[in-house]
Amino acid sequence: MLNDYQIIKKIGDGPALHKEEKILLRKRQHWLVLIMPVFFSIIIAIVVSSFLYYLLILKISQVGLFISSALIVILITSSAIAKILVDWHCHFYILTTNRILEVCYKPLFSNYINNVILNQVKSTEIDIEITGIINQLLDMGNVIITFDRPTHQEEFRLMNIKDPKEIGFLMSDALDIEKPDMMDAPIWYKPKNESHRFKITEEIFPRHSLGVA
Amino acid sequence: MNFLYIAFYTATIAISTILGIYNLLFAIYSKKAKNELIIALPNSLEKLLIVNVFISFVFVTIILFFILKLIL
Repeated sequence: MLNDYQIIKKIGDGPALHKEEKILLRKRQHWLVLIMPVFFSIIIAIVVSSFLYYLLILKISQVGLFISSALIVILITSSAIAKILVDWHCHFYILTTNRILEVCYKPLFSNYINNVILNQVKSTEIDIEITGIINQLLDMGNVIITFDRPTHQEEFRLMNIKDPKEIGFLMSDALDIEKPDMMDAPIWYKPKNESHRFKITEEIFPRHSLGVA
Repeated sequence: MNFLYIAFYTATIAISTILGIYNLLFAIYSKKAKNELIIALPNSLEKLLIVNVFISFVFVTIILFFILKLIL
């Protein structure tokens, strides 16, 4: 069993990035995922403070008790909001030409680093999910990459990220580098970048748009 | 009744102290990320953590003031 200090070591202690390894993408979750928990924390704080006001001021007229308990509520709320913000900031995805990395660091609570070496995985499937009205409006969704690897996890999930379609294209390009004989990974969206087309439909029906392109 | 009030104040002061220590550790470990994982928190977030630690101990002082006021 490895301890945390054995798994996570200083970047300076590890091997340097390969000369040809370039960072293609650094991505965090969409900022919208922060809104709901922060909003609920504030709402709960207001509700609890109102209840304390009713109980301690209106019922038993103890200003000192109300102030000290309200201070505790403020402290708990600000601590919770700080934790939500820091956890969001320390959770990100990195795609390089050689690997995909998910770093999820929750200070004082947990560390999680998922590092997938791209040239050691066999086949891939890239799924893009954009579900719900808000996600559609804000162009927010998940990119799920399925690896055929013998280890514990077969899926690599980039959750609640902005521009999932563009990221999906980028992933398919990055994952195809070592496999020139593979069929182009299909992604059934029209990209913002016109150089990416509907690859499969164009291969099968070269001069037909099929009413979708 | 006074005993109940003092018990309440003692509980709030204990919670406030625990939260202060938690906030301090949280700020230290967040800073640690910069050294170990090269995750640098933005200045505003670092300030928020420091402010949290500061207000925790200010709140302890305020509650202590209320307890002393009640006792003396």
